[in-house]
Amino acid sequence: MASSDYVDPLRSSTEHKLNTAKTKKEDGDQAFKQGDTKAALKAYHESLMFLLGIDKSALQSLGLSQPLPSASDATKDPKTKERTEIDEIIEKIYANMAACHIKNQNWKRAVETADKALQKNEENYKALFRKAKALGEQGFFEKASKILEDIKSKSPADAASATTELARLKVIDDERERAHKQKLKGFLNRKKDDKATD
Amino acid sequence: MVLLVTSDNEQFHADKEVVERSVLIKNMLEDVGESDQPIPLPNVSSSVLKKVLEYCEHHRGEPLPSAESESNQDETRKRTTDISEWDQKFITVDQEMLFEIILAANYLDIKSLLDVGCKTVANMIKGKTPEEIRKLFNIVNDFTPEEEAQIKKENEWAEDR
Amino acid sequence: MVSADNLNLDVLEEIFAYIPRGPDLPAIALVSRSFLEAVVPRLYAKISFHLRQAKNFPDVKTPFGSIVAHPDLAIHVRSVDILHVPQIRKGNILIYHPLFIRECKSALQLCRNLTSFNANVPRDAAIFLPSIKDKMRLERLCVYANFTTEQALHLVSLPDTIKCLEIQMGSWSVADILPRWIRVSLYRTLRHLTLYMITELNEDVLENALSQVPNLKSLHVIGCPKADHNVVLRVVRYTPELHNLSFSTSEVNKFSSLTPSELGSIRNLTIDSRSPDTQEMLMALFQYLRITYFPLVSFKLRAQKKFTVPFEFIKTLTEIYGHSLRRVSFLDCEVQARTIEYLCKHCSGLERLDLPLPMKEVGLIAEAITSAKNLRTIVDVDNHVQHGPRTFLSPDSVEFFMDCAPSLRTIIDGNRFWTRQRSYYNPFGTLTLERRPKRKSGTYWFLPQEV
Repeated sequence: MASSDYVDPLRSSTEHKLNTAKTKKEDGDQAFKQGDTKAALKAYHESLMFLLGIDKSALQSLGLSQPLPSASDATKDPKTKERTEIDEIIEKIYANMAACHIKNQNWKRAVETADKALQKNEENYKALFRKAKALGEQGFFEKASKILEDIKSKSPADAASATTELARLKVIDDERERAHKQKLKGFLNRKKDDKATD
Repeated sequence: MVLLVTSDNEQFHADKEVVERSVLIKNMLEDVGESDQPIPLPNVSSSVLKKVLEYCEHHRGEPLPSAESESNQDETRKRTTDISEWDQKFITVDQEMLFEIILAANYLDIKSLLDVGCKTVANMIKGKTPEEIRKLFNIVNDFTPEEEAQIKKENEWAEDR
Repeated sequence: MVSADNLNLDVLEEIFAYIPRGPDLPAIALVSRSFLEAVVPRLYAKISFHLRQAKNFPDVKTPFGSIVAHPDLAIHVRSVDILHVPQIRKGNILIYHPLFIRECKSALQLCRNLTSFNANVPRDAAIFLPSIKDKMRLERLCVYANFTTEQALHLVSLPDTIKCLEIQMGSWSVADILPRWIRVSLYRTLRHLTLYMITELNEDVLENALSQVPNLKSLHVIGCPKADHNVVLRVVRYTPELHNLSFSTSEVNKFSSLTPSELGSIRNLTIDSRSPDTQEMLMALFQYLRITYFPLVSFKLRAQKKFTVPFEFIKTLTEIYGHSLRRVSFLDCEVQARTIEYLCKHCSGLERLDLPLPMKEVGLIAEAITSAKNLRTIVDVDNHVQHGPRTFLSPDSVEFFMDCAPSLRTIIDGNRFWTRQRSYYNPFGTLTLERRPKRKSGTYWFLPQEV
């Protein structure tokens, strides 16, 4: 449409936003390294404020996005769909935020932010691991171990930490399972049936 | 009170309860606490933020959709086309503002407002031919006739629900 | 400037999520490249292939053909329902069209994100099973399972991710393999089990199966003569978390007294009565059910042979569950105005009522619902007992209904959806009529419905 008339202001403002966002992300990374999770989260949030709503149509003029899709590949795999630099930064920020929340033992937000990172890239195994850990800490053993098994099979680099975490969860889960089985067994025996307990 | 700064550098004061209808802002306030430093909203202009805050003010105190219940109720919610009277009046704006509101609601993560905006546009689209839709939104047909024929052929099955 | 054409993709996708399935979606695909790109995920998320499309084969390209031509579409496909298969004459017999089968199987193989698969076709549904073997996200399987022993073996090697299993017309082999299938894989994930018209399903099979899934949330055993109400109520002792329960009462067996069962979690109950004396059966059944109190939310009854819902029964029903009931359905039976009046009076939370509306008594029925304070929806169900052409409610009758119960928003009469939007500014509201096509939906009548 008429957007070509507006290229210049859009372009400069988009570039400006992107640069501000990058600076803020670096501030966040620095703060995280120094162990200041609160300052890191603040910087990450502010960076997101700049990144999230950037007009993507303006990106085309910046050359940050691929040209308009042709009719046949308009239907292509969303995974290969233009992943802009912005998407990558957003993914990294959310994965880092999940790390901050884990450090603060804020499990619920850790899962939420890890999920946001995974929405951008479902193969971000760092984020996946953080999600599993936070789920496990909240008592969702089944979900957590499923994710950890998945990590083990798909990402050799993260397999070791996944295995350690699995073992840790298993100890907690076995204890819980034993208590549950005891209860169920008592319940089924009361109905005098032996098939169920095999 | 929370201080917000728009893309055109206008400052807005609003109650925490009101701005927290934006999940984006709510998460930020939850994670880092309140401060007297303004929250930058570089992707919303003052005229749009004014509208959005009007909406949030009207709906303050209403329960926010929880992240878990969402996926289950999503389909049901989207099938109903009801828009409340107040929301209907609120969203009766020109097309550009309508799209600006949708973008802002998406950016700020205000589900109920995004809902109202999307339903409104969806209702405008329903029952129209491709040409009528183009005319409605002033869109240029960028398909070649061959592409158009092919797309028509490949999606014809969906005409029968 | 922001316009529809340069909204970002996520937002366009969000908008198109509000467009109902049907002709609007392919129209949107033809608008422009950005519209096409944004509508494709919704267009291909749910593929339902039914009679009309089967008839148009091969003149109209099937969704499966489009997926084979553009394999990138497959990633969007979440749900596939095959309710009809195009046929072709070979000699004297009709066979499945080999071209369709080939296309469909190739497409299914590409759909890695498939979560729901429904092959409810009366012949050879087993031919599709090998194509869904590796769908690691499959959560729902619905299949017409008149399989041979060899075909039934395929079931055991299906992914161990299925949460919801619906088997219709299962053969002896399928009933036989069910406990083993559960032991091998389903026990971990299965939460909803529907067994419909399986002649060979008996108590041993059911007991063996259920004892392995103590977390089951739904159990629907309908039209299985060897697994009647007595059997079902005995085996549910294994599944104390059961939320939804449906069963058929026997044509021959009366209600046999049982020890109280673990029914405390039941919220939705469907009874499919095949008893010669439905009234006697219902009274005995509810005397038993009331031993363990559970706050029932939805109740469905389907009867046979010109059964009139007894006033006494509604008294019992509301006495026990009047405080919790929200949805009540009567299918294939008659309901008198005074019965409805009693129900509405003693069941203050009632939100939805499904029943056959006797056209001659519409006025009386409308007056009977006056005391319902929360009734939002009335559905006029087809009464299979009365033959002849279907009569529809006149706009005047609909108006009258809406006036009688101010909370009423929707009246569904066959394919006609009447809705009235009310608001503070417009207390009388405006009445709108929408016609929705009637079709085989792929869900069973006995499953609990939404409001």
